[in-house]
Amino acid sequence: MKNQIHDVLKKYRNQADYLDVRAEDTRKLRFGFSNEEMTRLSVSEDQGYSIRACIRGGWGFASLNSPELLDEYAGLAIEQARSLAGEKTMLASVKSVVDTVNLEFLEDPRLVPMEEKMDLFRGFISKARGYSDKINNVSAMYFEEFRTIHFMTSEGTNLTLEKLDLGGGVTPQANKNDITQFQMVTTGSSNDFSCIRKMGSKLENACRWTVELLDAPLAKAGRYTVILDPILGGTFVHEAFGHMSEADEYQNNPQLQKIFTLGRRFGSDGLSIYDTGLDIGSRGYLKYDDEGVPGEKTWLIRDGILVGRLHSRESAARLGEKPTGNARCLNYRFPPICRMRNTCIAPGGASFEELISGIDLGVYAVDTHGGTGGEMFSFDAAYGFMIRNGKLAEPVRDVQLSGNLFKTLKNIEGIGNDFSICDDSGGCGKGLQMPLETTCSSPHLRIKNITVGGS
Amino acid sequence: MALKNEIKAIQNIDEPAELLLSHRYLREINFQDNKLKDMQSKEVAGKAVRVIHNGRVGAAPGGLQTPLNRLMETAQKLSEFGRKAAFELPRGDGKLHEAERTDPNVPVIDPDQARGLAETLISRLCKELPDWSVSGGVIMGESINRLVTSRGIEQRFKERGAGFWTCITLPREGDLLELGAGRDTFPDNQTLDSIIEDLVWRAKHAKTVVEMPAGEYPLLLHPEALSSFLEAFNQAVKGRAIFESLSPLKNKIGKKIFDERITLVDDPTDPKLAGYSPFGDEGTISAPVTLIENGVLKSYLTDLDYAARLDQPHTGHGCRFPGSLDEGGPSGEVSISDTSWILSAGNATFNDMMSNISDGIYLLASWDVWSGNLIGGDISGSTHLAYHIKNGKPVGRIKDMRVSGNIYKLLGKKLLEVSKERPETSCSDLRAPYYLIDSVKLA
Repeated sequence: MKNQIHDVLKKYRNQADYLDVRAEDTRKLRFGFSNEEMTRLSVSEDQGYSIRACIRGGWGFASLNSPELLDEYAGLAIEQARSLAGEKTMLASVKSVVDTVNLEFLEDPRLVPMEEKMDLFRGFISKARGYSDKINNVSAMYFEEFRTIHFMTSEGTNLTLEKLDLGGGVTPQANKNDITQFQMVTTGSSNDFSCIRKMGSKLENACRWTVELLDAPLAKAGRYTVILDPILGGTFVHEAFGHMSEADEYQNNPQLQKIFTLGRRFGSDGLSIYDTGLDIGSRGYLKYDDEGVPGEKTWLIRDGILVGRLHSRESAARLGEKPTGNARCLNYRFPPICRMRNTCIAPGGASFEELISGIDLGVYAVDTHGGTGGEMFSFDAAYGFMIRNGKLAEPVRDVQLSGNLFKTLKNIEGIGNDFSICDDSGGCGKGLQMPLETTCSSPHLRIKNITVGGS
Repeated sequence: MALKNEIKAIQNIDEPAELLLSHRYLREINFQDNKLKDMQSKEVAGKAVRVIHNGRVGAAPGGLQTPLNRLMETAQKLSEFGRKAAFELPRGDGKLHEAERTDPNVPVIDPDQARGLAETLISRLCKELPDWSVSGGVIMGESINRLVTSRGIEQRFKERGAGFWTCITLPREGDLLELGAGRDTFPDNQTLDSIIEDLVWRAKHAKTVVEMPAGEYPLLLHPEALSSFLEAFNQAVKGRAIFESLSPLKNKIGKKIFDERITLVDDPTDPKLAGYSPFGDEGTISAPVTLIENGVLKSYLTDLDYAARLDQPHTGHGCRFPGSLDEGGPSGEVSISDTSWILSAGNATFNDMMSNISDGIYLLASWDVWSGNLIGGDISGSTHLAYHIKNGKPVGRIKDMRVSGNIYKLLGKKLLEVSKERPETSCSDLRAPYYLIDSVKLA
């Protein structure tokens, strides 16, 4: 594959202002259980290529599976770029990089036999089913994906990268009359199968809440001061702010650029947010992005002030800023766009007790069942507790939280001194490119005036 | 191995085996903030094998270049770990059965035609809404899917078509307004005019934001928002959720679950709808399935496996392409997927339904209705595009609020009116009326 893309690059490099060629070889394993029965099992392989060309700012992209079409599709990418050519190509300068990145594991999943992986999950399911006869279904899933990527550019970048993405989840479920409750124990990693083994220690808590919440009331819908646990805090920063930091969304939009001007106050004092590709082992770890730009830690907000964005080379050039290593594609079928890596709220100084004190009526929201971003963001907590007179009170179920991005960031009243990197088995969506592996991290947060859906 | 040889090889295997081959060619043009952004060409090809080996199911997908015997070996090896097969592969007559669908507005895949539509959308929307930014994409493609089995089934389905989406945005301080439209077909002039007219109407009425107190209100539900609400029923009506006792619809066949004015048919045979699929991906022949008749649950959606486990005839809804158009080749495994949904029309007119609302909500889009206890029927969604209706007229857009309820109550005892009109919308796999629903929670 490497020689094939090298030949294409050599032939066409002078026909475009910029050209890159990519080849991927992917092996995937997935399986799933419902109770003791295996409901899905798949081992797949896929090979493909892509070519991206830019001529005077016009982009052409082609992706293919058949290697005999590589030359033809390279020509197509260039023809397409030429047909959209405008004034000039704008790409922030980067040093070309020649590197080979081999995977370094804490525990290599390829050395764990399939039977052992399956037995691990059968054990989880058995443990969950045995917790209570109210638990009528336990589903589980596991995936691992190995990719070898060859990437070359007309500027001399030449990378060979090995990547791993793995994840798993166990979901006990219980029903009572028309009420269904479930909790998810979920994890993910880019280098360590042992994170899967560790799921077992969280199962009992998940089962406990699955059962207890059957008898819990819904939170009364309204606006509350809310404490988010670190998992939810991570989901919050990803959905509420992370997507808005993806600079390709407004690289050509002066109105949006004005709203997201660097130096503007976006959040309360003490709020600092960054996005990093440097956390080895996290699903958002990224030594190089999909334009060959090295990963880094990118500050987005410092002490409430907007200081940065997530860039591709083009968005960086158009906005006069430096690239940040955030150009990512789901796979060779898509051109890279600005995406998150590990998006984090930096820890503050408050203890949990300090955060919760003084709240007459509020909600403590724990763990997440997912979320959606935009100006109006929303996400589901796995469960919650009412807060009454500064203390945790009764548990509540089906806690849905939503709010306006601009208002909510300024409504953060307290930031905890704890901090967790939270990897689950889900993925981020943007356009058709989903699910992309990302990580979200945060301490506990206290936020006023959050809308809680419920009863 | 050449395609012909692979087909022969599968046909001659003793044990039950399927080979699904897929080849798609896509051409796409995208535009952002009033300018053409990129053009893309994609070949998306792959194949997948499924076997019942020693009574257990094994599956393996791969690229077009992956040797068939390697996929077969992988599938057979995996079957040792796989599920006991509850079903048999359907038997065929050994002949090739073909079907084809071509968008009449797409005689050939023509990038210039796609570019023309993109440029038209930009110029017309910029002219009508000069303060707004216009983004979107036009995609054209051809695909051939071919299923061959060792049990005499051979089916080939060819398609040529196009689709587009557009998103207009108006970023203002404290309000990032975003509206969208699209179709899974290439629009003729009349359709394009109608889409632009509708988008302009929405934009003009969305500029003014109004405060609305939390409470309970009558809700006029546009089919696009209904599509999001129906996700709760969609999850619950699938055979897997029934079999695993996850669905509240278990043991409810023959029971009234919605208002009697609601009849819902899953129809894979209508070529005018996006879910058109003359063959299921397991070698079945597609047919319409009445899921709800006069409010009564009549059927679940099943594939071969879950139909057998539920001891019912299958409905042919096994799907091997769970993702989006350019996501990849076929999956080795089968999941249950709906096709096109058609809901019965009512007697009221949309204009009458609107004018009868003295203080209520007209909801056109709610993008996050997935949250909550969805499979139980509880829905909660943001007012991404909703208007406050006062005395029959929209007075402004409701922002940063949520509507919620239970789908079985909302489309059950709370259903007030059903419209005669069933407009074409961005949900090209749904043909549904407007619904007027009583006392919906807004928070």
